[in-house]
Amino acid sequence: MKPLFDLKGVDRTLLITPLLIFAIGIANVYSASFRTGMTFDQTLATKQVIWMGVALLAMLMVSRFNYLRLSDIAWPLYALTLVLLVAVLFTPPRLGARRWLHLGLFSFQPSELAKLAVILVLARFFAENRREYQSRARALLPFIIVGVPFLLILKEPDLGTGLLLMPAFFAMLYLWGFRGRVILGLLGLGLALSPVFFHFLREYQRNRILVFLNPDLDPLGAGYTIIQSKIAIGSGGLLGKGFMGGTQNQLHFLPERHTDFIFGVVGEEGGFLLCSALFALFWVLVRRGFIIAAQTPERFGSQLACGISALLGMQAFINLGMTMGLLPVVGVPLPLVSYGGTSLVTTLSMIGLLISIRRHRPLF
Amino acid sequence: MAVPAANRAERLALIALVLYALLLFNLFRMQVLKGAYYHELSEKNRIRVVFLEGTRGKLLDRKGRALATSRLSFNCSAVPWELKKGDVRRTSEILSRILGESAETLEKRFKDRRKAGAFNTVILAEDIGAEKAVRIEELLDTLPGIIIETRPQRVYPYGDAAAHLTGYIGPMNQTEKDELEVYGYRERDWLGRDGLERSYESTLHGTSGGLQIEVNSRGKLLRALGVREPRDGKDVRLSVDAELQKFVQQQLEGTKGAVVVIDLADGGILSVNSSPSFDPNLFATAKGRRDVGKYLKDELAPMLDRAIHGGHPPGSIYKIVTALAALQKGRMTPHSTIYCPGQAVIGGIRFGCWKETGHGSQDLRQAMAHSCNVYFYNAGLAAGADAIHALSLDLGMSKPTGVDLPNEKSGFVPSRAWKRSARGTGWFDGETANLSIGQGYLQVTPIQAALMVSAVALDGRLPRPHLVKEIDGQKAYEPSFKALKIDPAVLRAVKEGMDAVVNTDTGTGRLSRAEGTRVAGKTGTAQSGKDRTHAWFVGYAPSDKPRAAMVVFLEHGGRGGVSAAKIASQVFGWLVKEGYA
Repeated sequence: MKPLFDLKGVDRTLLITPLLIFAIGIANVYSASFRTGMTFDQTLATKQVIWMGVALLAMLMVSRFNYLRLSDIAWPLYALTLVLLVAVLFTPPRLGARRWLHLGLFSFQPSELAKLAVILVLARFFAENRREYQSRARALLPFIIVGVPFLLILKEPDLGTGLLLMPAFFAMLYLWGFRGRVILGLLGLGLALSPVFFHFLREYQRNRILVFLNPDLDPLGAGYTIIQSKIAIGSGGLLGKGFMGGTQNQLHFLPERHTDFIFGVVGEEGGFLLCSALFALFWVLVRRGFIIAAQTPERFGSQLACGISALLGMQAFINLGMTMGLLPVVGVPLPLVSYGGTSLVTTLSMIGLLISIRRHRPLF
Repeated sequence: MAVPAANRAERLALIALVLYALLLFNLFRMQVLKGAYYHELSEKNRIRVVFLEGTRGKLLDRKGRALATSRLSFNCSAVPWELKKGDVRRTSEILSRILGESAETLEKRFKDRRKAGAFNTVILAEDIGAEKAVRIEELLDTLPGIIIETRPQRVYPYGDAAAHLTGYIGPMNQTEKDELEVYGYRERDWLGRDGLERSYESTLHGTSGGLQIEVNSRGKLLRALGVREPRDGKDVRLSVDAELQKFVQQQLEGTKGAVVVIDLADGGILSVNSSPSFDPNLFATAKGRRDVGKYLKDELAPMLDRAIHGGHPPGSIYKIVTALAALQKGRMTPHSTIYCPGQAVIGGIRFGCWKETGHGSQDLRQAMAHSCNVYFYNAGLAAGADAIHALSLDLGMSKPTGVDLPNEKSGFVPSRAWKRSARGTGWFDGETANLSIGQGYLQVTPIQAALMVSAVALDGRLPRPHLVKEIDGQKAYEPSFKALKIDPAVLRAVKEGMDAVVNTDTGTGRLSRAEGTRVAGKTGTAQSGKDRTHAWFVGYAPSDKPRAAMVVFLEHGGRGGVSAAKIASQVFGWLVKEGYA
C-alpha cells in the first residue's frame, strides 16, 4: 500500500491550480469576516483552513481510488439519490425551501449528491451505448435520467443546483455525439419554454429573476445585493483598493460577502489584475479537465471527466456572472473561494476524481 | 463522419474559454472603463436607503370606530457612515437645543448603536412631533448625516379597555427575520404579538417599500436609484362594539376577572374584556417598551387574557348542564321534587348544601332559583357522570372554542376514562356529586361559559364565536350554529329555571335585573382554595326572546349573586340603552 501522501502520478496542474485559487479565497474570506480586534483564529478564515485540510484529504483519497469501480455503483447511487430527493420533500421547510435532511449532528443536501449521481449514471450510459447504434426512443433515455432528479430538485426548490446539472448534461451529450446544432436547438427550446416554467416558480424565485432584469425593482432586497456587489467590483478599478482596504466590504455594505458574493470582495480589494488571474486559474483548471476527457480513450472516464469539468466550470461562471449582475441571483457558491465546508469538500473530491481518471485510465 | 470524441472535448474547453473571456470583457468594462464612476459611488457619495413602511391595517369596531390605527410620526435619526466622528459632538449640541434632551444623551445613543446592518439608521429621538421635525429639517444643510424619518406609528385609541382584544406589536427577532423574509418582511417590520394583531398578522401587515437614493456629502439627493412602493395592510372590521368594550372595562376596574358579551343573532362577540389590563400603546414605541417590564413583573398578571386563558371551576353555573343532562336522560321531570335537609350522604361521605338549614322540598324551578346543591347532587347521580361529560363536550367544553384570538386554553371536563388512565382508580359517586355542582376537577374558561349559556338561550344551537366580520370590506365570516340533541321541552324547563333565578324574590341572581328588559341567568360561587371563591354569572336577555348573552367572571371575587350579578346588571342596562337587548 502506498502512503496517502505519495504524490507520484498526481497531475500537477490539478494539484496546484486549486491551491492557488484557494489561497486567493482564504485571503478574501479573512478580509470579509474580519472585524476590528479579531485575531486570525476568530475569523471564519480559520474554519475555512480546517475545512480545506479535510477537503484535501478527501481529494487524495478519491484520487487513489480507481474510478472504474464507480461504474458499478452508479445506478444504485442514482436510485438512492432519487429516494432521498423524494424524502426531502416531506421534511419541514427551512427558509421556505425543503433542501435539507437532518441526520443528527449535521444536515445534508440530497441535491449535492444528485450532481455526482447524475453525472455517474450518464457517464455509464454513454459509455455502454454508442450514439450511432441507438434508436430514437433509446436516445431519449438520458433526458429522462436527468429530467427526474432535475424536476425533484426544482420542487425543493433549489434553482441553482438544478440549473448546474444542465450544462454538464449538454457537454456530455455533445461528447457522446449529439450535433452542436441539435444542442443549441434544445437550449433555444428551453429558453422559449422558460415563461411557462416561470409560472411554476416560488414567489421569491420569480422576484430574483425580475430583479435581475431590473435591479431597481427591489432596492431593499435582492436588488440591493446586486447593486452593492456591482459597486464593490467596479470600484476596485485596475489594481484594487488593497487587502482589507475595500470600503464596500469593510463597512458591511455587501450582504453575503463571505459566501455567494465573495467575488465582490475580490473585485474591490484585488482589482482587475487579481480578478483576471482568478479567471485564468479557473480556465486552466477547467481546460485541464477537458483535456483529460479528450485523452482518455476509455469512454466512462472520458465522459466522467467531461461532466465534472463542465459542472465546475459552469458553477464558477454562474457565480461570477451573478455577482457582476450578468445572471440572476441563484445562490451558487464560487468553488474554492466562497466560505463553506460542504462546497470545498465536494469540489475537491470532484477534482480528486479527475486525478484518479488521469492516473488509473487504461492506456491501450 | 462525426467529429471524434477527443476533438469534441477540446472544443468544449474552447467554449469554456469563450465564456470566461466574455466575463473578463465585462469585468474590464466595469473595473477599468467604468471604474471611476463606481469608485465615486463607493467613496464620496453614498447609497442611502430610505424605508417607507407600509401602513398596518386598522382594527375597526362594528360601527367603524378605530380600536387600532396608525398616525404619522417623525424620528430624528443619524446615518452612521455619513455622520463624521468629528461632527458628532457639534451635531448633538445643535439637536439638543431643539429636542430638549441633553447632548450627552444623544451622543450616547449614537455611540451605543447596535452593530448596524448595511442600511440601518440610528434613531436619536423617537416621535419628536411635527414642529420639532420642521425646525430640524430647516437646519439639515448644516447637519450632515442627520435625517428626519417618517413612519406610521401604531396607536390604540381605547388603550387598556381593549388591550387583550387588540393585542400589541413588537419588533422581529433574528429567527423571525430569516423565516419571514420570504414573505416580504423586512429588517424593520414589526409583528403582531398578541390578540387580533397576532391572529390577523398576515392581513394587517403592510409590505414595506423603500427608496434607494444617491446623496452627496451634504446628504442632498442626487438621484433615485430605485423605488419600491410600500403597500398598506388591510383593515379588519370586528363584531365588537368599542363603546361597550370601554363601558365593561370601567365596571371591571379594580377587579381580577373577565366579561364576554355575545350577540346571539350571529355568534359575534360584542365585547371581551379582561381585568386588570395594560396599555398596548406602550408596546408600540421603542421608548414605551422600556417600561413594559412592569406588566411582566406584576403579580396580578395584567397581560393574561382571563377571558380565554383562565380555566376555573365554574361552580353553580354548571348546574345548567347538570339539569339538562338529567332531564334529557328522562330519570326525572321538571316537576319531580327532591327534599333538601341541608345535606346529603353519598358513598358514605357527607355533602352539604350551601344553606345548612336546608331548602325543603324543591322542584327544578325552585332548585335553580335557590341554587340548591342537594337537588343537583341527586340530579347529577340520575344523569350519571358519562352523560354530563358527553353533554359538556357537546357544549364546547374541554377544547378551545376556536375564537380568533391566539393561545386559547381548552379547560377540562373529567371523565371515567380519564380518571382510570390518569389516576389509576375508578370513578366514585362522590365525584359525580362534585361535578354536578361545578366543582372538583372541572375547569371552564369564561368564553366557554358564555357559549354554553348562548346555546341554552338559542334553544340548543351552539354558536361559533367570532370577532371578525369583514376584511377589507369583504364579508369574512358566515354565522354558523351547531344543533345539539336536546329535547325542546327540557330546554324550556331549564330556561324557566334561569328566569326564576333572576326574577323571583328569593332567586340568587336578582341583583342582575336591569331596567327595560327581563334578564335570565344563573349565578355561581366556586370554591377555590380554602376561604376564597370565584364569582360567576351567566345569563341572557330578554328572557323570552334572547338577543345577547354574557358571562361575568371575577377571580376570587366573592359571591356570584352579588359582585358578578351587579356587573351583569350594569352591562345589561347598557345593552338595553344601545338597543342590543
